[in-house]
Amino acid sequence: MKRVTAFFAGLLFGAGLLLGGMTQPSKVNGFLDVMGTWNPSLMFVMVGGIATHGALFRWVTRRPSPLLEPRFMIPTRKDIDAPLIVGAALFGVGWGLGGFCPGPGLVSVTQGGNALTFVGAMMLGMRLHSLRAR
Amino acid sequence: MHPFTAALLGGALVGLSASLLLLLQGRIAGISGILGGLVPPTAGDADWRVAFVAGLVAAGAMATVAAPEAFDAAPLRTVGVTVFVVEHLLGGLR
Repeated sequence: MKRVTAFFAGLLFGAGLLLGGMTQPSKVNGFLDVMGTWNPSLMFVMVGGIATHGALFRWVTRRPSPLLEPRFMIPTRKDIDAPLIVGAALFGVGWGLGGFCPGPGLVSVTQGGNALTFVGAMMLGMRLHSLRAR
Repeated sequence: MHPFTAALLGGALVGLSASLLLLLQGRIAGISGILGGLVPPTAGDADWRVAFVAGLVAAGAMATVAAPEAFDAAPLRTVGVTVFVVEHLLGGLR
């Protein structure tokens, strides 16, 4: 059951990224080029996402538990530390260099080329991090 | 559709998907977190992660056929630059 619902959630997430233009590195570069010819369209993806999830999050978390699991797995940390800031900055560098963030990279992976290289490099980075964290 | 409208709707779908995952499994739909949990995978915790990632990839595969305009037509940067450099190096040798 969880496999089916998670697959459907992934499908919906991917459709949203595609419709929103997140799978077009040209748009990403346009969005990050704040000092140049800025293309603000991707800001609306964020607005649509935060508005929808912000409203539904409150409604969902009023429940005592999710439908298929005994409890919610929601991060509780609220502090802002150095790893968070450095990690966020590195994420931004990768987004600007590659033209993909993790979701759109995975959605574009069947296109091969840059997206495939991006996903391979990202998973290598994740593996290195998991070795370090051990 | 205006790009801003499409972006707003796309964002709403992403937010809906995240809410669905939260309602069903109590999980946060962060892609790097979901994929990172598979590198390496943990027994009992891998199935839903693989399924979610498969959904993302499947959406892209379907769009390749149904909506190819959702992707950039020409490979950007890295590949293009590499081809450019290699062509010029070869051109210089000819």
